[in-house]
Amino acid sequence: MMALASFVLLFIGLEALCLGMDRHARQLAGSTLPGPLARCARVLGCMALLGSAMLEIAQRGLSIGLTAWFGLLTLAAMTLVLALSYRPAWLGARLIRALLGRAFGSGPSARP
Amino acid sequence: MRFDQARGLRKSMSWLHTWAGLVLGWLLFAIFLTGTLSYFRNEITLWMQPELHSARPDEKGLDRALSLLGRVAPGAAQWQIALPGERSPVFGLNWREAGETEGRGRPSMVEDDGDGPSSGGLGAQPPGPPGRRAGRENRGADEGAQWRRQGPPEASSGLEAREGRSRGRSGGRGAERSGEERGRERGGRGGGGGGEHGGPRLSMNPATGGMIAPRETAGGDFLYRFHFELYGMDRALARWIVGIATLFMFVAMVSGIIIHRNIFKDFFTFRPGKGKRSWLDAHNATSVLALPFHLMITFSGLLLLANQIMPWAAHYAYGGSVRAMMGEMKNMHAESASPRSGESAPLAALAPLLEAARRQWPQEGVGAITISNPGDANARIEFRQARGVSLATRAYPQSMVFDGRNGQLLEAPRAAEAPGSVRAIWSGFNALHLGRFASPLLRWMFFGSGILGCVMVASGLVMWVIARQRDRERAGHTPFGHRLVEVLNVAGVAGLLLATVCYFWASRLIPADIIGRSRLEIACFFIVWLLALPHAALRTHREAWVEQLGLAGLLTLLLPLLNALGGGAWLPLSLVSGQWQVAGFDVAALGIGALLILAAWRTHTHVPRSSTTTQVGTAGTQLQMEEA
Repeated sequence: MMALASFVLLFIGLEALCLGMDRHARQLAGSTLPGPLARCARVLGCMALLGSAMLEIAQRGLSIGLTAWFGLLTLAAMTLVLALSYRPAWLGARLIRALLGRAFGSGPSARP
Repeated sequence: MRFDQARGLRKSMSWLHTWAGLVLGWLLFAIFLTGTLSYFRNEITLWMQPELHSARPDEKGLDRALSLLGRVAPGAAQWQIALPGERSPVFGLNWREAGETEGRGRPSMVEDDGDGPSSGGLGAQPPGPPGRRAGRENRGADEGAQWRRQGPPEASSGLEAREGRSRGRSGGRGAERSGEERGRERGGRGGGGGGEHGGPRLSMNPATGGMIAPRETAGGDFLYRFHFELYGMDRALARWIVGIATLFMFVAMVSGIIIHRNIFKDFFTFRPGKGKRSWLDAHNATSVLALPFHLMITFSGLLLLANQIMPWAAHYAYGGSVRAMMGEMKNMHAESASPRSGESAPLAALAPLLEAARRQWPQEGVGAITISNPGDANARIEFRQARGVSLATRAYPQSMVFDGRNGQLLEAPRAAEAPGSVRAIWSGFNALHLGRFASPLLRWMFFGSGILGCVMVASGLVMWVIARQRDRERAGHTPFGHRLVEVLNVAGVAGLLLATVCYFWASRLIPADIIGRSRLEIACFFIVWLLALPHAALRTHREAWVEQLGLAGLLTLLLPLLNALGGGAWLPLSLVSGQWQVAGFDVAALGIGALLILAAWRTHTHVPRSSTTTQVGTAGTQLQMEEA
């Protein structure tokens, strides 16, 4: 159960990292994020990754916790890569666009 | 590349990566695939022995095990009971007769057996007379004769120390073993959590208390041993070959990291349907996303073979005794068994003690029980964790010892003493490679990462062909070298998959009571693999891929059916009754079979996009994508 929690946290963290990268932001949100927002997504993503690592370590001890975390990281990243290529809709692209649209009125501004 | 001209680092590394990867790529794929399957060595063996599928968990199982041991081994000096658990549905019962000397130190402190036979490592055999186990196993004696080896044992160098132990783990396999080795090996298989004290090993159905005699099979142990000792050749030579291949793997990995232009920028990138670009993306993704695993498994593999490749340090520091080094590395201390008092006394009730041990280890559970001097006033009962908690202590399971008469706690679980850094690193990598500590979830993640590793190697091999497509078009014909690589790719990748699934089929189709079954199973494996080569050479490149992948996929997909018809627990039943070991095999077979068929189908229907795309381009990408 805790493993599922860390997996979800990892997945969200990795997706946030994706949003912070231009190429994948275009896949997910339709356009790149403005600089500060992209930076924010990256920071949040890293924090989620750290959080899941701490969760696993608290659960299983340092050595095995880290091992499990790396395993989950691989699993989450692989899932994300496949979903990005084949099923971006499953990653909540519409939700992300709606949220960004709310935040910026007429949708996220495309950076030059 | 010309060596007489100056060139940049990346270019040199690229050259190194290409050729280091190609030369031993097929061997590496075989090592990766069989090694990955070895994570489920117990489960594979269990699947191959449908007799054991009828076992059901039962509350009263432990009492039945004790009474069975009381019947078959009343005077034994020690009983060992491997409890059914995550990895086995049956009780494994072992015992040591009174006259035998203790073959090793305190079982919980030496190599292995935390979670059953699968945990075998390349470890040292603890001091003790191994030969005494010869012929004690039911089939050990007669089979030993068949397997008699011609020459003297290879045990000249420090290899021997490592050998004994790892061989003790092995399953029914090995073309050249003496009867003594064979007997030792069978004894070793008895280590299902109880330690390797030789002696017979019985499987007991927890629900009925009856013994089950499973059929002879090479099982998952063949795959396990193949992944570092290959087959049918001298062990030392085989380990040299595997060690060198591992070195090449490491070189290919490091150079691959250097030549990868944007590890972070391309971290999540996969662009399907773009020919060579897709292959490169897939190769990168499977490499980078599972990089921690790849580096760990390669480096720890090197460490495990280090005594083979670089024995000098151990020889110098320990006066030639690798065994002494292993003993110190593993922190073994032998402990003499408590003597019998001669006064008989009933054994304390085990259930409350088991309960206490389970309370002590709520996460890990209890894996095995050892009872010394059963029926004597000096009896001792030792409980051992199903798996250890820290990598630095080799994930070695802790134990609790109780007085066998009144059930008093004699020895609480010791807090692991902090090992020195060298030992901690060695132990950690060792434990990681063998996955001894792994819970089922972790085991599946290791398995998944291993599959990514297989895809990484296979995609690298395919890319070698694709990258030279243009040269080939320019030349107007296919050079012999290119064709050779194509053929070897098909036979080495699809052919091995086909051989492995045929091995599973053989294990269930060969009649159960034939003597020497395990050799027949192994023969099937190699015959199919060998036949894949002429097939790949006679068919066109695309036909060969499609046919071998398709057949492998079809046979894999049908494995659950074979299991059901062959007397095993069929999938709905194993799911309902919670036999995850059997159900997991069947479900994995369904998934992998479907992916292989999909890969074959995509290869079949693939239309080359442009002249730079090869015929297998997209479909193969599909394969790795899906397998991943």
